[in-house]
Amino acid sequence: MEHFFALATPLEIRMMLRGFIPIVMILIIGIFIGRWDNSKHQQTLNKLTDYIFLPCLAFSAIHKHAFDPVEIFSIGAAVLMIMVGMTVVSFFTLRDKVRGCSGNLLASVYMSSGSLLPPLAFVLFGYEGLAKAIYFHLFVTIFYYTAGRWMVSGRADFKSFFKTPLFHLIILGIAARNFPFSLSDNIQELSWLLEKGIHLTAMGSLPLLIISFGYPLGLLKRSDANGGFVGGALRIVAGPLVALLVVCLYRMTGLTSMERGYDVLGYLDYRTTEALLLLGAAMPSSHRVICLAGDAGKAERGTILVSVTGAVITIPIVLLYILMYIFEE
Amino acid sequence: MLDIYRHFRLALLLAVLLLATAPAWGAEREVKRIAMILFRGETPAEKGFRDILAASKDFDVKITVLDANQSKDKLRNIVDTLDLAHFDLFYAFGTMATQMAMEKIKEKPIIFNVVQRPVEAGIIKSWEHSGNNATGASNIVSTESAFKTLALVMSIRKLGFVYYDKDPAPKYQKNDIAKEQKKFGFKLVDIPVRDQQAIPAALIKIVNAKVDAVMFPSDSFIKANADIIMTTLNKHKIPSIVIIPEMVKDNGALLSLGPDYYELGKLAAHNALEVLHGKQPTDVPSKTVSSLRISINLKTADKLGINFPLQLLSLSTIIH
Repeated sequence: MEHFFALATPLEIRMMLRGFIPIVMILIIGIFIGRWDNSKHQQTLNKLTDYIFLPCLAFSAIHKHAFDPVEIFSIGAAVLMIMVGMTVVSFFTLRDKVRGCSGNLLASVYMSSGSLLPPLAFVLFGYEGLAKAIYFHLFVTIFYYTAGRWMVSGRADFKSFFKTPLFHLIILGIAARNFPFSLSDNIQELSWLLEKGIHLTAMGSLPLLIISFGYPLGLLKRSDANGGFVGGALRIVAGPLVALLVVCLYRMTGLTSMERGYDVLGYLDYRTTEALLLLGAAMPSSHRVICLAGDAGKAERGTILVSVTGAVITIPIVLLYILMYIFEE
Repeated sequence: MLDIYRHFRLALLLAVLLLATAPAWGAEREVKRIAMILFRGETPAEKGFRDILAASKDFDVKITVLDANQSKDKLRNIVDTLDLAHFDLFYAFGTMATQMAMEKIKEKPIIFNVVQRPVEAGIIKSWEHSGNNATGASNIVSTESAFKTLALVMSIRKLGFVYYDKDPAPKYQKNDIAKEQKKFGFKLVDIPVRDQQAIPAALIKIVNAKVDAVMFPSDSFIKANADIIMTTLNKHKIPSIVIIPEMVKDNGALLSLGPDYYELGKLAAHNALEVLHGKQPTDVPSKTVSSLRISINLKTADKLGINFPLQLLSLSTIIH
């Protein structure tokens, strides 16, 4: 245990907790609002998240981030491996059918990458982490509309994915970042003003995303946990373990070089990608998958409750691991 | 009995080895005298320089420190009254001290250090061959790397650049920064300072310009006045980015993105050793440190409400 804390300095642990504790507190506020409100504004909150919060955040993060196809590919491939890995593990553990599966299997496979991950990634890994979190969520969304829909109804739904504002704003962000023409001073000032507005909305949406995650949890009861221990544990324990395998695979293949060399920033970028993959895979279940599977049964509700409660412990452990073994050489 | 015999054999072997190496240990190291011409006292660069020379097997280096204590007149006086015959080599810190030394010293080698633009400042003809009696180490860093690092921490749209107007070196850095404007999407706000009296007006200009951050070159004038500058910037919650790492520790600057001065000192010392071994300074390439050293003042960060990402903290020197 002494060794466990020896590598992460007190400062890093303090910085980690400074990021993590406010998020937990906002989450609790979201849960209480949902409980008092009886979660009757869930649909409105979902729409706000899908059409305003996330797209603004995506544009704000991506247009400031250097466009790197290798980075996008490595995150995309990692998400694919994590999701496939989790589907296989959940399929065998929960003994569910893959096609026409229950919401419980989906809840143990899908993480809350669009609500809890971006704020955490931003607070812990800065703008770099936020941009990577957006890419992570993009690929989870692709998986949601394709494999997720196929698992529930037997048909993938690519069309719906291409209609999502998130996808369009990411493309717009990449285009704005790589805009090849010089703008006149006046137009540039105007574009910066517009960008500042989007940035403010994006920053404001970070706590709102956490609240939108906590809001539906207000309806869950302690007794719901009984049926969700296996699914919840799969989500928050098997998830990061599968991601760790992917990180090891990347290191073995040299895709995320371990050489620090002269390019410190390149090294830092690889380590941030690895950290983000581990953090993303450690997120609790997404309540959105329940919408995909129809009404939430006791098992699904239990999986969500157990994964959220357990994540309060498992996420700091994953973060400590990141500090000790990913960022430390 | 067998054990005693074994020990005796071992002791004999050690004695023979010691005797064989004795002449090397006992050999007299050649005494070399170096004058260190400094503008603002010793920095980690001089420590690195001293450490490498002290470890030399061939030379017993005697260093005489001549510090101008941040006075240009005193620096001029030091250079003018130098006893050239007494020293084998001259070490100069910074562009100004090196330029002054080069005016006076023509026959003896000069090792410069912490000179950002030695070619543009006319100190060397090229990085490979100086074409004169100087060689050394430069504190130039990749501007692109600096902005990439900054992008991890903050979003900058208006960047102030404060520099000493009479020093030509920061103007080259300003041009480099200007080239990055489009790539990193910011606008450079140029704030030259003519003398110490002009600092308050420059600070008002920074505050009124509503810049997102202010960048400072590696400039002894700025370092000399860093206390008043940083106090004002921190009061107005304007992040400061510097090249000189000591400004983060001593003056409360937020972040330094510069070379490791200790490493620079070591590089300059290696050049000095090559020269002391008989190489002509013109044949000893001038060097640079390739990677950034990041220093962060967390107290200032707290005051400004800036959160540093964990991956950056893991690589940085943290000042509490």
